[in-house]
Amino acid sequence: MTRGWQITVLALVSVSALGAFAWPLVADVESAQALAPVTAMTMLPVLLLVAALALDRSIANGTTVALLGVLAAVATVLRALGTGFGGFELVFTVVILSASVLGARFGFLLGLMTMVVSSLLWGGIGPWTAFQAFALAWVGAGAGLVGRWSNTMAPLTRRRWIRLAVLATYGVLSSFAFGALMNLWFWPIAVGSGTDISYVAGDPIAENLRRFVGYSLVTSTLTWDTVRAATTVVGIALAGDVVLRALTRAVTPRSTLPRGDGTQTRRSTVLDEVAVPPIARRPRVRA
Amino acid sequence: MRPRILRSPRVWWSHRAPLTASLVFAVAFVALRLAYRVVFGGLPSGFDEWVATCGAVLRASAAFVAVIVFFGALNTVIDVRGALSRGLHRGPIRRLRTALVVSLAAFPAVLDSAREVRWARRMRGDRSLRSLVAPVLERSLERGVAAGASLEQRGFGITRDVVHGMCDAPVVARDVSLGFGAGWSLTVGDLRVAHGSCVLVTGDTGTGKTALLRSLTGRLQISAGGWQQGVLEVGGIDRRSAPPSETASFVSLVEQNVRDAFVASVVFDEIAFTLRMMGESENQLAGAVSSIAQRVGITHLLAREIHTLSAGEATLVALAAALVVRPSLLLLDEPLADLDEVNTQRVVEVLTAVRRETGVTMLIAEHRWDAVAELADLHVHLGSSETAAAVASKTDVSARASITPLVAPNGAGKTTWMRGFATANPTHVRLVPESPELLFSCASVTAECTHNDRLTGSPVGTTLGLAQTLMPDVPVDAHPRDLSTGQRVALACALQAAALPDLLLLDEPTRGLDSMARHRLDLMLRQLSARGTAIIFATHDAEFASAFGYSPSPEVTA
Repeated sequence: MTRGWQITVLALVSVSALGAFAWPLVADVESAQALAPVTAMTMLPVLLLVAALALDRSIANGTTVALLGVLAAVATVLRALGTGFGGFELVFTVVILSASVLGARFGFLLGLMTMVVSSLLWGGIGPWTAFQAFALAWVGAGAGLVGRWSNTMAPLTRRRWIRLAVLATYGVLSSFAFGALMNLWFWPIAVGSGTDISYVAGDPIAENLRRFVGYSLVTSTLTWDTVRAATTVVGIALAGDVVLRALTRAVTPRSTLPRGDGTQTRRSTVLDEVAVPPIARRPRVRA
Repeated sequence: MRPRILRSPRVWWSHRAPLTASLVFAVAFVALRLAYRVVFGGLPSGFDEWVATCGAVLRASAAFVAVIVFFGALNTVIDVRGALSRGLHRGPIRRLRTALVVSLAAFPAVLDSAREVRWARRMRGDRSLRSLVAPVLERSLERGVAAGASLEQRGFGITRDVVHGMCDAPVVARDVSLGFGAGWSLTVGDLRVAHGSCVLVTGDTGTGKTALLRSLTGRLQISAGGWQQGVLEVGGIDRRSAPPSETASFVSLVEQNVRDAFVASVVFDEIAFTLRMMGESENQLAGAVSSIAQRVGITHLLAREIHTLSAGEATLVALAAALVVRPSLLLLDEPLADLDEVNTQRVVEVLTAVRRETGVTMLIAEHRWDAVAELADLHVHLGSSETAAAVASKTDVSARASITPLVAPNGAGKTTWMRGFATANPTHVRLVPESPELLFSCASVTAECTHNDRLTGSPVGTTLGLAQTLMPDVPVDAHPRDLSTGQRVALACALQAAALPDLLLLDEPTRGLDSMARHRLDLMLRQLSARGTAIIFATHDAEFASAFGYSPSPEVTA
């Protein structure tokens, strides 16, 4: 599958997945009772699989595979170590910074992989994993696009701190967007009926949206999401420079030699020698 | 021995964590829902109304609670990790599945390094976020690059089968030069290694031992950005025409840092990895793995998690993983670097036996060449660097404070003791850990030293001055991780000694140093002691320790 195809499939999958996230706003009265949430929860893992299938071939070599693996492990560890609220803050820092260097498709896969790995490790694989994975994957993909955009705007974003400021701004926006998305699909399940912030099946979208904003504001936007946005900014501001350098360093091929040793050209001291086998030759076992 | 995907009921109890977590999650979910109902739906008045409300909430949330608990139970009964490591060589999304396997294997190591870094920060009183994120990430990226190379070397991404041709001369080099960019090159010239022979490659750090071995796997020329001139044939195949994965069935490499090259979580999966990439059936590979484990003497380790292995065990596992494909060419990059006497002997015994039985051709790069000298038919020495020789002209420094070597075998508790001691007396005692990189969080030597001046409250330039005294030729603009092993130890010493401790502890500072670098370390320790800092260093290198008055007691050497 070519790059163009991969991006097309990714775009289509993302639009459909967005629909699944927004099931409370999209579903009609009858299906909202049981059918719509179940459909959303079964549809999303399938969409995730389609996205993974499309992007699998964008992974060029073993190094990309391994980088994807260890960066997801780093994000998972930082999620586990996150002593503050929500535990997400440093995950965003790592995903956004990595994706801005390694590109949108890598960012998407990194977000996806991070969620799958941490769910696997805490044994928390379930219908919610696909939602978390998609939301973080979009954060990563967006960071890749932002990274590319600031490359094309090179004269303007020449200075490192401007690039970091762009990424930090994106970090704030994506923190709130992530929170809102995760609230949206889980809202009817989390709150139940009969409250001021409940989802009412069949109500006009505007009414439901108003109540959703109320729910989001009181339960996460003003608390978890704000903390996440703030720590993402702090993380990018304080560690961004070092992290970006480290990533750039890791993807640049280097010799194992320390730098600055100058030109050293030597000959090995043994030439034209033939080593003598100590034992008789053995026929090869594996052809 | 082979892990099953559907866990047997006997082990369900020991894997109950996901189920427990799901029960906690379910209770929290119901409680939250009740809270929403009460806060945003009006407070129930009276006992009856409370019961009715609770009942309604419970009934309404029953479906999702069932989903939560069902998936918790599923995660307990099914071994997802075990299932993932199967069939990686084919099928859809195999690259992502491989990444997942690498990630799960890297997780404990990353967690360990995060803990180590947290400990190192506390020890230095460094609270910046950068000093947590940067070393963990740098270390992990290094690991990632190493694991990536290991994946390719072991057959990941193989696109066509390579027919292994003539093998009476597994390595033939004709007028070969190797290099990286314009800055570094190695002239190999002509070399012909006959089938079944063993070549010992020696030379100081930086003379190209690793580059030579990596050129034989194809990594240097094809995936690592180096270049090759002349003709280099491995098993009759032009090395430039075949990437590392295509020769994985007959060329095996044991990397210098074996732990970084591990790609699986469990020893069995690690040893079986290359066979799985070759597409062998699970039954066949189970037999091959257990027979090689028996050969190397690690049958008892097969079910162990990779990150719990000691240095000696890790080397033996890496050796088994390399031998399991019955390679005709086995490359070993400093296999003895991390090992004490007992484990060294064991590895040499295994190599001798394997060679006798299978007639494998071996190339061993090693500083401790005396240990493997018996094995070798041919000794290739890569010329030594002139710059290193110039530095080594020994200045005589008289020690003022004491320098005490602490010699004990692997696992004797040296590290634990040192850490405990340094943590308990942070103002008087400073420790240079076994991985000095734990202390590095900046992008250049200068920045690292300036940061350290702020931490210790010394005038700007103090640390850099000390670093330049300890290693006069230090490249101040280089990234600390681009320094040679010896220079890293020196920089870490400068960072810790700048705090003016009474006692400086060094954990295994001789690890990975060639004779020249050891010489410089000797000099550096004496310089530090001349400044009035007492030193205790742990090592399993009795020869180095003997320069500081260590004499092995008969019990230890016996």
